[in-house]
Amino acid sequence: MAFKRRIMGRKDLQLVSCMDMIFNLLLFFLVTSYIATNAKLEKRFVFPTPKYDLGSAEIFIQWIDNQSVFWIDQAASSQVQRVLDQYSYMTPEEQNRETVALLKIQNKMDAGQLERKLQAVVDAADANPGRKYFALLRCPNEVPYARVIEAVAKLSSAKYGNVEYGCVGGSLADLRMGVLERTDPDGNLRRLIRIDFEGAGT
Amino acid sequence: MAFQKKREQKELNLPSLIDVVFLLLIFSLVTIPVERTENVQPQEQRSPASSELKLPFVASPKVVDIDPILRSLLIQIENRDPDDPASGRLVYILRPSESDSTIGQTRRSAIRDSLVAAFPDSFLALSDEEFTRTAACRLIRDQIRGHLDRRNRPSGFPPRVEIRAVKDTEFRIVNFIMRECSAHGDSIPSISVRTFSHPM
Repeated sequence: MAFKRRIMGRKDLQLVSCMDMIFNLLLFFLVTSYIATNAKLEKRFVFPTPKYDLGSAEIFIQWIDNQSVFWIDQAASSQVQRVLDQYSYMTPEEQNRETVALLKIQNKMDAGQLERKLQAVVDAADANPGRKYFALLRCPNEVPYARVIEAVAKLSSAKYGNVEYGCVGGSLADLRMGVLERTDPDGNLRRLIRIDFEGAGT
Repeated sequence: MAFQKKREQKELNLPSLIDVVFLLLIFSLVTIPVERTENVQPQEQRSPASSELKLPFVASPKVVDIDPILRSLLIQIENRDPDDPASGRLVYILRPSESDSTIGQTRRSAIRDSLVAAFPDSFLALSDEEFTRTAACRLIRDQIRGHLDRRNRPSGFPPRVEIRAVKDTEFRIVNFIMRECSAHGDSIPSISVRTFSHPM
């Protein structure tokens, strides 16, 4: 019986395919090592300790849920006054319900709008280093903290540190609003929104 | 006798060449943004004047390593079951030590020293007073107060407090910690908060 040795032709390594494979491997390891490194990293925010001596605030932000907030600033005082005038025949409780309902429609915003509003506050604070701003942030106790922390970090990014903030817990349902009339040091009559909190709020 | 080796003229394979060119293009697209990000310095490093004036610095979130040496009082909020965000919350108090311990090492010491407490399952339904009386809140309050005492801190460590919490942590818990920090006036001028995505 005769065995015949199989003659195998010598094959050249194809340079282009080889390069192709090497680059594929390189890309694979580059992307996977980047993902593996990022998985071990965390985001960190550093900001000043909040102030809890609540009095008056330029901005009031109430979280409704994880996605939306309710923003009140000086501009909202005329809206509140209009509702109170329109529903003057109602009981204070009903007037409050109407006020909250109206502001909830007109002043509700999502995360993107909130970020733009906060940036506007930071820009205004940077343009007026001598003026102090105070923002009161109120969030329902059950909502995850991350959204509030992002807002705090944004406010604290003011160049001159002139935006202070306070945090309280509580939901929109236990807000009570009214209008106060005050005379400022220049003798001008100013309408301010009075906000009272009720219910649990740590 | 002359030998002549017949050489075969090799042609470049066009589709494979295009393939390589595209790979190079993708490679450079991936690597250029990484280089740019690495070259950006944190804001506080760029402006030394701001640190001299002791202005509060914050800006963008800083990405930090998961297991550095612990240099501040770290209040860590974890899920009872790491894979289940609805399983309830645990608080670990990690205290800095002279021996430059990492978070992982200090966490093990916290378990040994009973510096761990669980928030009750229904803590959201509790009144403010009841909530602040829970074992977890008492532990946080006592440890923050203790950390402010110079004798309880390794020498050269400032009275810094850091919160490291899983991303679903309820605002009530984080707000309580911030409130406790601010109760000590300017003793704790700033707080740092870290997201906590991978339970150890």
